[in-house]
Amino acid sequence: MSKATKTKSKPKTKTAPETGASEMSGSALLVASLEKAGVEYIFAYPGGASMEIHQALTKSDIRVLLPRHEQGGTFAAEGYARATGKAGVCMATSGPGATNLVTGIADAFMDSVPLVAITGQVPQAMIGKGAFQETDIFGVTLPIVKHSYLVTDINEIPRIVKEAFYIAETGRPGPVVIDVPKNIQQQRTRPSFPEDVNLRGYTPIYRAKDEDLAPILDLIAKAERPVLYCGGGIITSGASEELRKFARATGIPVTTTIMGCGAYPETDPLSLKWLGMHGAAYANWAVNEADLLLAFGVRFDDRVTGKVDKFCEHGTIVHVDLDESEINKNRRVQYPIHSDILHALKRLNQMLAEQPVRKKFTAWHNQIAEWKAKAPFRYQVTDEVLKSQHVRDHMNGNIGDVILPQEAIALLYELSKGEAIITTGVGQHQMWAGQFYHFSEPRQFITSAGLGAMGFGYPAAIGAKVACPDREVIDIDGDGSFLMNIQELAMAHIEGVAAKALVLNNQHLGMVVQWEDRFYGGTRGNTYLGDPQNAKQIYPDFVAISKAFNVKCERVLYRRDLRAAIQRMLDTDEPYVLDVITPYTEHVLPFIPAGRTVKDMIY
Amino acid sequence: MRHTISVLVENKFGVLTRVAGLFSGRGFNIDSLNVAPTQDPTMSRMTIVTRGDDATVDQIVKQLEKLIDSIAVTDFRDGEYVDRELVLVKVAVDSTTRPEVMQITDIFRAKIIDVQPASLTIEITGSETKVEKFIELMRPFGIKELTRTGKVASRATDFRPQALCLTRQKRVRQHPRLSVRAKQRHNNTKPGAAAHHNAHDTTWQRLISAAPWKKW
Repeated sequence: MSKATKTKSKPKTKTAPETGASEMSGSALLVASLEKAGVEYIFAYPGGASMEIHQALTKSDIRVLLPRHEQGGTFAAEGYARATGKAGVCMATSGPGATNLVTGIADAFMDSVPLVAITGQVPQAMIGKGAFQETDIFGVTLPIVKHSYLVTDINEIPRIVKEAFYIAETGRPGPVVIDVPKNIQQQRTRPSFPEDVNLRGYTPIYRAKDEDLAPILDLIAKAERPVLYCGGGIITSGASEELRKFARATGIPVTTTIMGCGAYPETDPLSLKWLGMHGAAYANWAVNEADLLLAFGVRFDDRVTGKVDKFCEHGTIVHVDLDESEINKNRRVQYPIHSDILHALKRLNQMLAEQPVRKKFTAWHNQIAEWKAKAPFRYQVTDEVLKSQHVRDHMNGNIGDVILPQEAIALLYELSKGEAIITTGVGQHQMWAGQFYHFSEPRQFITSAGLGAMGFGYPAAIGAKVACPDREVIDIDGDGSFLMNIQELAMAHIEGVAAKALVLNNQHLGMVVQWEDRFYGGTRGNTYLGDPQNAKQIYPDFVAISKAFNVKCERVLYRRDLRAAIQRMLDTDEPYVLDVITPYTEHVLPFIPAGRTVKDMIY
Repeated sequence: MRHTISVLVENKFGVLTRVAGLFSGRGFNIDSLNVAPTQDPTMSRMTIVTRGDDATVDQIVKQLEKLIDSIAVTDFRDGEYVDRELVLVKVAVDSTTRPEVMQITDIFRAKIIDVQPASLTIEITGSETKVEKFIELMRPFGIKELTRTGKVASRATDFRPQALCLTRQKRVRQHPRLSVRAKQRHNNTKPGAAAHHNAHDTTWQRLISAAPWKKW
């Protein structure tokens, strides 16, 4: 059993003395405030400006997990947050430590993930002097945070930490940065902890009135071809159950964004899986033909809409979102409703109970069934695969032994019974993971959707495994993405977190290769990741790298070995890497080129 | 289109950067920006004048509202606010032009606050048009230096029903007090549009034309 699977005792509630108690240092006060916020894990890499806090953490029950790069720490904290809905916490020192957090903070901002990022800062007297390891991280992160703090008074630490978690976790979640100068960490004070959060400029929840929601039911009654288009908002607000009720009560087919995967069970007959650039062809057709689009907790991202004016051009769109700035931002809609989606769906379900929808939309369901049959997600060994360098170099003429990346994922789905939490890197493998793994519950698919940050998968898997030690957590990754945070194999091994990686290794930057093939005449612009001097050798050697980290790894080259190899990975209860060698010639289909419409879809 | 945006914010460091960042991040220039504490020293009021298409400014206003440190945001439309600007202008004069400059200053009810052998420093307060006109008249004499505070603005009335205000106070988020049906009658807006900003807009424009206080 891994260390992470052992149940941890709750943090001591009484570590921090109340008002009037003895003096404590700023760093101890920060740690006590984190404990009060219910923090159990923190992903933190020490340095000169944060070591005081690490010293205080040695006296705390909060478990510190040591990433081997600060970026890995933020992604792990995000993985934790995305798996639980609770804020993930990461920490780094000033300067380079802090700037290494930036990608993770930006990622959390784009995907609305609750994250509290703590940075050490040089002493106040040194700020602005160009001190060693000084960066104005407050300034650097301004456009990518929900809120941020530079602590200037030790006595404000408890209030700031309490507010930071409140802001990160409520409303539309997001990242909060707390920058703590070293002299504040070292000062001493008699602490006093606030009872409440009082932020007059922040109202996290807004609930629409019934009179605004009621027209939705009238619209459904009038519609012939309705579609539900649901996003991460459903998962964030915990509205998945209500969505299921609503879809079943109305019989409206459901498509999700990639952030919304799992908000509605993808194995359900009403599910259209996800839509957009590489989404299901039938979902894209359905939205294109819909006369009523119920957009719940979504933001009309360009990867979903393509040419935004043509998106559901002839349909009536109802957009319900908690963030008013999302309404009419990317797409002007006929029915904008500013509301928490959980509340909206609850009320709609109550209204439906009193006044059920009689319509069956039979013709519409038949049409969708026809589309599903016409263009399901599929894969086959194409001519390009047969002619590829990969087959020539490695297959020895046994064409049947080539492993298609899609098939590896489908097999993983089968062998893991669809119950694993899946994280991904960014690229082709990410799209295929979404296509060929079917998610049945929220928070099961953890992916860097908005920012598209390569290197996200493995550290995120570690974070998710820490949060859910009893679940199987597998990072479906690409060779490029995996290499970007491969050093986190050390965190997994040393901390005993059984996060696994299925690397679809095609020796290329697959998604860019796909674009090169489609739009640039196949000219390779630095997209080959192998060793040009020795193309037959798989490079880098993940088996050898993993061995150096004391992590088990197996390479699979032939289809006949794949099933047993995946099973061996699933049977292991420690970190594991399965390096699956695939051809690079596969393209992710369906494909709507950027800025185009569903009419241009290649499927 | 030109917008005058008034933002009530927490009087804390970093707030100005957050606000300015929302403009610069979208490639918008701020024509003028004025910040100072209000009657409550924990709050400051910013008056921002900017140009941009309505959709983008609307987006900026919504983003301003989202800032944790902003308390209320108002995007003023013409006619619903009063505004003033204070300008210090140093005009080159000699013995022949001095009387003329002083005369114009008098006509505009501006004040001469410093006299030097070769220049006069004049303080003028007023609406944008008045100030612009005055500066135009001073130009031929030779403007040696010009400092403007930028526009400060305040709501024109304090008895307008909340429903007609474009201020979207974050704590008491207001929606038109009109019933949905009444609104439909008024501007043929679909009921679901209640949360939509422009619904306020059209309702407001429609009602203001019939508003009794307009005649006062």
